[in-house]
Amino acid sequence: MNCKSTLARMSQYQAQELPEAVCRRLEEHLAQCPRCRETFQLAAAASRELRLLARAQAAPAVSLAPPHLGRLRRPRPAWRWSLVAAGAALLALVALGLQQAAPPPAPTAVRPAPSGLSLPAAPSSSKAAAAPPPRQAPAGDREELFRSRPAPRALARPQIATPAPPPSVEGSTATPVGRNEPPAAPASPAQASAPPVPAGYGVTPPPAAGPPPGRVNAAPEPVPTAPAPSTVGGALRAAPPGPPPPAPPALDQARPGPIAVIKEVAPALEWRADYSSRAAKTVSPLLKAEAVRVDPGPPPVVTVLVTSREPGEYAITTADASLIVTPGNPPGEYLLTIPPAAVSPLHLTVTDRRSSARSDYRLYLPPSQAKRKGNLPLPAGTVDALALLAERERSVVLAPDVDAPLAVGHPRQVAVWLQVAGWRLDRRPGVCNATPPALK
Amino acid sequence: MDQHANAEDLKLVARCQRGEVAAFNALFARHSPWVFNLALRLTGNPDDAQDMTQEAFVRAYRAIARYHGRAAFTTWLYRVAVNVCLDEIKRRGRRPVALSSLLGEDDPLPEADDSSVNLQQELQTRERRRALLQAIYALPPKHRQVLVLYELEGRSYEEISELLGLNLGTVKSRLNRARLALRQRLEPVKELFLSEASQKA
Repeated sequence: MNCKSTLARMSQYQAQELPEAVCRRLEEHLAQCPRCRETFQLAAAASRELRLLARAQAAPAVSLAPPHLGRLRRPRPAWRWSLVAAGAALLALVALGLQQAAPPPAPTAVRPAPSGLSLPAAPSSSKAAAAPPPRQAPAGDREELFRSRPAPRALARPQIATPAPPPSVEGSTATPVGRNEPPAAPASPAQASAPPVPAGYGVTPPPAAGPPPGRVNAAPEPVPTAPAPSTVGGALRAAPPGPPPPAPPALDQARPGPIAVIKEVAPALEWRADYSSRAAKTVSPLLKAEAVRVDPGPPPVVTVLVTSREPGEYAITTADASLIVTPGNPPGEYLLTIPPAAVSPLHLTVTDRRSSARSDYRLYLPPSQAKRKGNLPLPAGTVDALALLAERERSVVLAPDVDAPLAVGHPRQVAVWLQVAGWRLDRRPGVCNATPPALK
Repeated sequence: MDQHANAEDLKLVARCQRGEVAAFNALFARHSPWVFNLALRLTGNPDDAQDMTQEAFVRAYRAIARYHGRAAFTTWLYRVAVNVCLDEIKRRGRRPVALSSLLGEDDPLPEADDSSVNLQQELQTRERRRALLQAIYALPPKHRQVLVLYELEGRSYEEISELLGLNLGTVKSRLNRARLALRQRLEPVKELFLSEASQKA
């Protein structure tokens, strides 16, 4: 062993990380070379001194005063969230009752399902015919209704017949319908006789009503089957098969913690959620971010419940990530869990909360990915949807480049829970962003 | 951290989660010394360390509702404190290092006629440590952080890897380079260390 390799291995030798044979050769060299020996003695003395210094540094001499907590909000106990959720549910019930009391509006044209989509049969045509059509609210009312809605926890919403697949879909059987495109001709008598398209986006239809208009196969009420998939440190964890677990908790109950105040910094332009993190969030004006919760971590997680108001593609932009939700037509409700430090690769899980509605969900990958892998048809509506996705893909690499859009569409307009979670090392050196195991 | 202390912490945390500021102050009193020490070691500046200690506890207070007790409270707080320190170090840039605070040189020297303590030896120790800390705080931050966490804080490779978000191999190589750089910086004052080594030998 020469001087160069000895010096290179000296640190490992001190830490006793070298194999026995290498140690012996290094010691032989140290015995022969006075210069290396001196260097080793210096390193050993420095290391010893550091250990002594660590022991000598005990409690600080300064006396520290506790921080002023007056400006801070007190940590809220978990039971308060239950109260808030119960209050919101009560309000929603009252609103529903008021809605039911209102006279139904005049029916309007319904866009039919595109040819090629195999819609399952209606559960009961007489029931569908007897169903009172949802109220058609004027545009102003719609806006007002949307803003005043307490929280979009109920996933049931008015449905219409025509799905609007994302524009990036290749080989989809659905006919793309533009946002401003006039409604197409009815495809089937059942759809033609369906009630009009409701205007109150996000409003749960009356519970006594039959299937939602234009959605002959829809269940009357959402039947949550699988809780939102959990991701730990970016790893995909499949829901265990078996009987449907209880519904996922409401957003406010799922993660106790402060909800950041969403400020409308420029009305009709953007929604901005300011919070303690450096990465402010900007949400498209066509989306309503109902709740933004920031868990500073570690690991840091931002949770947004977003409701789209019009069909189309909407970008939810964080400092590092860009996600596009294509909810179809009419809009869906999504639970997005987006770490502020964007993730690459992303791990995506999609589950359906309606087990009774058989529908073809498709996970649309970005074009670059879709060319290679093709879109992933998910037999959603079952609790195995997530497991199947996990089994097939383990982790879906959506876009190594975080600027590439992620589009998730569902032609049948049934709400899905979408969770995106994962981790990428922050650009800041030395900052831990991964879920840590417990330290000693 | 023994179990009794952790149980006491958990009781205080539970009270703090119910909104009791007094419980939080008790947690502060229990843990602020070592958080300050950690901040002081990472920054080398007592004023900054004081600020960071406060900031770490403010951040912990904000997030305490999400502490569920899966790890020991000290572990959780340690991570919060390290993250705060690293953020602040990055934000504030290089600041003057107050070695006297790190060395405890504010403590008076022993009296010259005190036979139980060798004054000469005490002075040499102080000088040696001063040179050592000067060399450490002259290192680039990424090397210094690893070295401080490993040598002064006594953290393992795995823990440093988790705390800094680095691969295990990166931690080892950084530590290796940090030691090498430290050796090079100590070369001009090696007599301080070698004389001590020869005395011990």
